[in-house]
Amino acid sequence: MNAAWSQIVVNALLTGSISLLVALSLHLIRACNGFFDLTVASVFAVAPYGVFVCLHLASGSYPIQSGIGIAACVTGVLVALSCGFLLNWFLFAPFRRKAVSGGVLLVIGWAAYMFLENFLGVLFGQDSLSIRWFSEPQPIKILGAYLTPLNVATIIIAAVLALGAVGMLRGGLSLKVRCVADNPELALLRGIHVERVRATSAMCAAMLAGTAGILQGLDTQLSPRMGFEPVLNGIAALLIGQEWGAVGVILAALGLAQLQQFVGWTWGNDWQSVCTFILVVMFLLWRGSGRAISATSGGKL
Amino acid sequence: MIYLLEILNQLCIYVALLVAMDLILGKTGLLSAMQASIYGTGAYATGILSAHLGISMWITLPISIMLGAVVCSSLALISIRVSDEALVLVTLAFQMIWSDLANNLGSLTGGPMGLRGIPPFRLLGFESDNPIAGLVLSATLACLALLVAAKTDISPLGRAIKAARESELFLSSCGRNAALMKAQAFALAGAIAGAAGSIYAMHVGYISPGSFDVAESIRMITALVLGGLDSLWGPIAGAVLLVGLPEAVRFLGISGSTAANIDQMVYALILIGLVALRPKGLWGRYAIR
Repeated sequence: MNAAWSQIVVNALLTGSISLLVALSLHLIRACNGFFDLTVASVFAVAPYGVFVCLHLASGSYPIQSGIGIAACVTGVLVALSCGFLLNWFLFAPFRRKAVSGGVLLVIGWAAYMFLENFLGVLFGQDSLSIRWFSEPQPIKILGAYLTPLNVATIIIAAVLALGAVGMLRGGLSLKVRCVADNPELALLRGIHVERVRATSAMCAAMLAGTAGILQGLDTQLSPRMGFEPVLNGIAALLIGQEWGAVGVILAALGLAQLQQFVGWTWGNDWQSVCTFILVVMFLLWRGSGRAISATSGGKL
Repeated sequence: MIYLLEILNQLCIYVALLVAMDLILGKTGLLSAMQASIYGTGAYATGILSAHLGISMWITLPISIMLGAVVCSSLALISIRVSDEALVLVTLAFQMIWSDLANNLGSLTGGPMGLRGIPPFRLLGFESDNPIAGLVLSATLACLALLVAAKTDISPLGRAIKAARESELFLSSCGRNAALMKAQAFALAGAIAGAAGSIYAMHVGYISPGSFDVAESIRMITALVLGGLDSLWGPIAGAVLLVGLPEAVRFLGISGSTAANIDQMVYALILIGLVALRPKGLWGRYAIR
């Protein structure tokens, strides 16, 4: 394999790591609550802004020590968790009690995303901000491809979280999630605390999305709109891979990232999204996803 | 005075666009996030044909209408294959593809900088870049769109479309083809949106992808839900909100980017509040479900 191909594969692994965390986050909510939650895009952006605020508060002790930086990142994840919990508790739970459809929840999530994105814009402005408190060390060469230590850390963290999420969905939570998604009233009768399961899945999803946001924020710049594109990629991966459960979603995210990198290298970065969405539309038309596959029809987790 | 005429002109174009959207969302009950791209297709068809090739508006306008109808009715065919929820995401994907194409095909569309030099509509010595002539043209379009919506509402086709919205199975049992009904409603909606795009392009003489992006689609959905679905007054009330709110924010003296943020936040809050408290909007007869 020549150096260019190695770099494409490694770049795809890197972008795919962010994408698969977002896709798993969307999958977790879809599997449990039965809708495509677009507020994942706002949680993705809120977490790195939480890190930014923490670093800003600690900026009196410049240069910032690694310990403070890592503590800020942990705080950012906690901010994401809280955001996920609050959105579920105060926004989606009241609508679910009215027994609204997944379509209405999708519209509500869309509106909440719009609100939060613009709220971040009002608070922090539209200019790009940085949360990278450390100076970037020299890239290292692995199998002919160049990677920075941050890139390596991103891939490892994403792999660990993805394994954790798959383990959780295959483990004890799986049955509860399936019961709640299938028939909340029967789940309640069976002694499952429905709202607790939903809140747990929303918080786990927020943690995955928030971590992805922080990892991307460390590598690039922050902007209020930074969550939109990863979530579109995540939705694309979810639509393609959901039939085969969490593992299918992960593979679809990595496959799409590979396709995007290849398209970017061949035709230019401007065509990456076009190719992804064309593939998704073709896949949906071929498989008829969405009608055949539903979280409430006992699909794989 | 010119400012007021321009506002009214914009209002009339949005009335037509929201009537078209109501034919899809209100009558068939399907949520499409690509209305702005249909509008943009009409605008770019007129822009490219007239600015690049010098083709007369008597040809570009019907082509824009036909293109809008074809693109939109293809959506009806897709809706057969996917669930209602997945359709929202497919249309969102289409909207993103459209925006990327408009930005990337620079030699044809002018890219992010937009397309300039679109000649105005000329009729009986009047040109549509004149505010009064432009208003007459867009008001005619709005009236025609409202007339089409009113006629459709009481026609057998309109009733069949609404029956398909409630139960496709029931409509099939009556011997009607639900997909065909939907395709007709979508084609009508696409034709109106294509015409609105064409008239907009000829009035302003300059178009850019930013005017037809996903945010524009979201604004239209919010405005229509606020005004009310499946009603004639709903699109009018929604258009007043769509045009009036940014102007109101502007008069509050808030700076450009913050004003845009606040504008979007208000839309989002209105949308959440309406779905929670008044799902049928102000004058609606149907609620999203």
